[in-house]
Amino acid sequence: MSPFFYDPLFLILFLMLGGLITGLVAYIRRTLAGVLALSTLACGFFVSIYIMLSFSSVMHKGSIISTSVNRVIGGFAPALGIEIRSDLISLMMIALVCFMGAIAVAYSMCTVQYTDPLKEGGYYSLVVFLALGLVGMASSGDVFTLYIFLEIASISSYCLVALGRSGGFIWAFRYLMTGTMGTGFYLLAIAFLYMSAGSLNMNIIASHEGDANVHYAMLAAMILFLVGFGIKMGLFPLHGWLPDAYSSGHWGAMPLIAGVGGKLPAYCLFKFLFIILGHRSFIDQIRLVLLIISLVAIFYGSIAAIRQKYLVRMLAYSSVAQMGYIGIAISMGNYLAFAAMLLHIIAHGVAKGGLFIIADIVGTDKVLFKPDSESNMKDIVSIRSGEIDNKDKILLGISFFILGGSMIGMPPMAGFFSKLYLALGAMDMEQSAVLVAIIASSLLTVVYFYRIADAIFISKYINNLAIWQRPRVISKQRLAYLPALLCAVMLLITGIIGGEIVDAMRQSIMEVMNL
Amino acid sequence: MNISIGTLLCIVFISIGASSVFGIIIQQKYTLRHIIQLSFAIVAFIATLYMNARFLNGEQYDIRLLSLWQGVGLRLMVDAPALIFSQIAIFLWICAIIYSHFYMSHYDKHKTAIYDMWYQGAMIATIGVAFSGSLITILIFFEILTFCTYPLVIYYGDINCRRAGKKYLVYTIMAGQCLLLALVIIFGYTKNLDFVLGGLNFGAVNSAKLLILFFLASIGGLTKAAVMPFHSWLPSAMVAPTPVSGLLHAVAVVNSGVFVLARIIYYVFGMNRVASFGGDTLLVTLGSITILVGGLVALRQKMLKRVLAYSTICQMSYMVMAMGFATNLGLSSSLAHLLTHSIIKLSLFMLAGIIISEFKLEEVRFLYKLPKRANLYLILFAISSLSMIGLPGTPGFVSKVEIFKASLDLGWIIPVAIMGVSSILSTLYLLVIPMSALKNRDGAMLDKANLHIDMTKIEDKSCKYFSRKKPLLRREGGMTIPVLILIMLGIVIGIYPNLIFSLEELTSHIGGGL
Repeated sequence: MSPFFYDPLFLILFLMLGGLITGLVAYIRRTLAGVLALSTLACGFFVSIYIMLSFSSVMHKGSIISTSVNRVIGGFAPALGIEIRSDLISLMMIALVCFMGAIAVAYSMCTVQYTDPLKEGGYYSLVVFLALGLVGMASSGDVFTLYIFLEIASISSYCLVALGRSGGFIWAFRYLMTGTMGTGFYLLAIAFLYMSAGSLNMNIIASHEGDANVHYAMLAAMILFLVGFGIKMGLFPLHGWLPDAYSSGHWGAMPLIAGVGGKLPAYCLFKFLFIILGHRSFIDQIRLVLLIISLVAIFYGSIAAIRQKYLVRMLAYSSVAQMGYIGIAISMGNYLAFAAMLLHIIAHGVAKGGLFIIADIVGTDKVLFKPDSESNMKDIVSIRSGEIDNKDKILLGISFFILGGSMIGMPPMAGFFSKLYLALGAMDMEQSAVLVAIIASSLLTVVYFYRIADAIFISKYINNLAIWQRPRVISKQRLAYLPALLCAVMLLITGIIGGEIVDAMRQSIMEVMNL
Repeated sequence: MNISIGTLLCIVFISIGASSVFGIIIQQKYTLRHIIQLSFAIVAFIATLYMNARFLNGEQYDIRLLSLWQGVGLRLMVDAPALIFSQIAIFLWICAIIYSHFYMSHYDKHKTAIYDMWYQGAMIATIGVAFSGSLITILIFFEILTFCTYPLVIYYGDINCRRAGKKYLVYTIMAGQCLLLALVIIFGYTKNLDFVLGGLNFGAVNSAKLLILFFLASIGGLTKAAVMPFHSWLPSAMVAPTPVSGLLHAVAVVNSGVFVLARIIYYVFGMNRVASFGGDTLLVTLGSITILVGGLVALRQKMLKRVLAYSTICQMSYMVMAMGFATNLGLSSSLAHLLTHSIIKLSLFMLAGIIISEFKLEEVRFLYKLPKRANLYLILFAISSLSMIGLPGTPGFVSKVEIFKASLDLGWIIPVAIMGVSSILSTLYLLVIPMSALKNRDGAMLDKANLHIDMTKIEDKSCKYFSRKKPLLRREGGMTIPVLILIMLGIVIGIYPNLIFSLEELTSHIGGGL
């Protein structure tokens, strides 16, 4: 494969370079930094889509058997060397990350932030570095590279949360503490793995046989890994940093942090469970534990979301619940559940990102519900002035309908198909408790999404949108809705062709799951 | 012209889709939008008529559009029930477009654009339900229908509408989720979700489990078809504008529910299997209870539209009961009743809408205050009520006789008796309305003072007249045209039904399988 961008390292280096240059360019002209960041991420998106398309066409032609491309860096042997690999699934993750990164930068460019070029350029390059870290996490082939990119992503997201409005740095500190503990656990897990398998490479660890000592070391590594990445993911008992960080983080970076930032650790959890340690005997028990935790997470997240007064906190708890879905999908372990996991990662990542943008447009300080008697008063007194403008309503309405509909599970959006596949996967594995949980939590999700729709569109609680109170960079007023609309379009596309995507990736998935 | 049936199906979908696209684009020009909608709807209707002709010549069609997983996918299918449902839906949609053009002419231009958008979405979903060929397809369109009709229920925006909308959403979403759960379990047993006449292959599954699964699957259809105990969203949804209550809640949504039920009984589980595990008794019981209780509750209603809502509930259960007989004649008689009931019910709702919006009278007991020019509407209401009751010579009689036949085929007298009682009840709650209004009138004209006393807050909220010059057709006159079309169609069906559809052909087409 001759073109240079097929090299799995290309995207990583490209994003790294883009991030560095963006920071410097801000000194010349601030908007240029934003444009550069946007184009870096957009290029990454298109390149990864192109590679994905030609990957599958190459596969159909049958000329290339293997579905992954490895590249060992620096001439070190695979035992200790850095390995970057790309297969169809990781390409899909990369595409998702770049897409959400581009959306995040596009939205940030719509509202002016800082007069200090260091902060502005720094912000944009942090977003690109976050994307870089996530991309690297998806494409790493050995556990230590995973750690490196995990750290890049985490530190970028700590800083991005700290850059938020009104007290973001307090919650960023808590996020920093918790997150560092998480990566610390992961580092310990790496130590155990290296100790027992003698290598850092994922493939070598996977094929390593051993005696009882190895077994216990691997078990310890798995548990440490579960806790560490559970913190990163926001899995139920380890989610404490999540609501605060998501509600006070930088508004523009939220699509990336909230939408995709938790998904990649989930994907790595999947890789660990099924590839690296897939054939160990304790995996079944770990999967059971994960299943129970995820079931609790779904209900806890949904019920907590219903009780929230503010929009962004509600979205944050909703993320906790959706992580539970992904946990269930991981723990099921059959092909349909894995397809569900992939589709849910895309659907939820895009939908949550778009919803955070909408939340910022509407205003994060708006309260979502008031007691009924007050709403009665509001109906009798007609408030024509100060109501949301009609054009705003249409744009908000279309985006919210599609994005929220995907979260609820409304066809033809991608969220419906991910829930459907998950239910089918659970049915295959004869887990009826899971089926009931999925259906019940869909109903709970409808409750809190209905409340948002009620507040914004129906009951006139929200009179003026926050975004029009803030200074804007771009003169065309309604361009700020474009990122949310793009997310909506992506959801529709993914919903309609989702099945085809999963079918096309069938061989990749089977290989990955050793089926 | 030799157009294949597949192309015709495409034409139907594309024309309805195009009408919604144009509807969104042309937001300002009210009449132009409706003319475009009407022409696309007529194109779609002609396409379905042509499809019908080709189908009767023996051409089959089904297509698998999108593969979702392991060979199961979105499947569209053209067969007899699909054709009947889609034809009646599109034809009534044409009448409803004309009606809502005049009905909504007093409202804010922008709001009516949104109204049209959701209306068209609901029609796309209904046609999708009609032509669905697999359980997953019908579920997808079922849910789309829910979400497209919800904004229409809360159209007026006040607290009653919001409460009604919440209730509607709760009921219909629960219905959709039950159907999803049932779909997943059915797939687990049969590994195939396509609609096959005679049922899918369930293997050796316990009868009790199948009964529970069947009940779970039918909750979806039963809720949308407003069968007790899942019926109470329908009377509450009457706070919507009358074209919505008429077409959507009396024709599209509830008919979709009955249609889904028909597909589940005859095409997923299979007639004989349903009889074997007792699903038929379940449906007949639920249907009968609803007919009786629905008829009794209708007697107590004060608001005109709620009377019609309970009448819908009652008539829907005729269909559910007929399908519960689990015979070929059962299915074809319930589809025939679907056709005739939709025509009659829509004309009743349109007349109710004229009375409510032109004369501002919502309650039955105040109808004596109608002025002399409302005589026409009362007489038309009486004619439609007679067909709903089932007088011989009216369309209602045609389909009810078939249901009687289906019941007597099995030797069951009780359903016949129940339907007889229900006819008496419908005389009491439907025919009494125009009769007493005509009789008790003191000929008083409705003056301006009375107008304000009787006017409720729900209708006619933001009155902006759309044009300064005199419109071509007065609002009232315009609204009467579709009513007259429907009543004439009804008379034609009542006197010579074979002109429109032939029951024997329908039964033979359905009964080809099992």
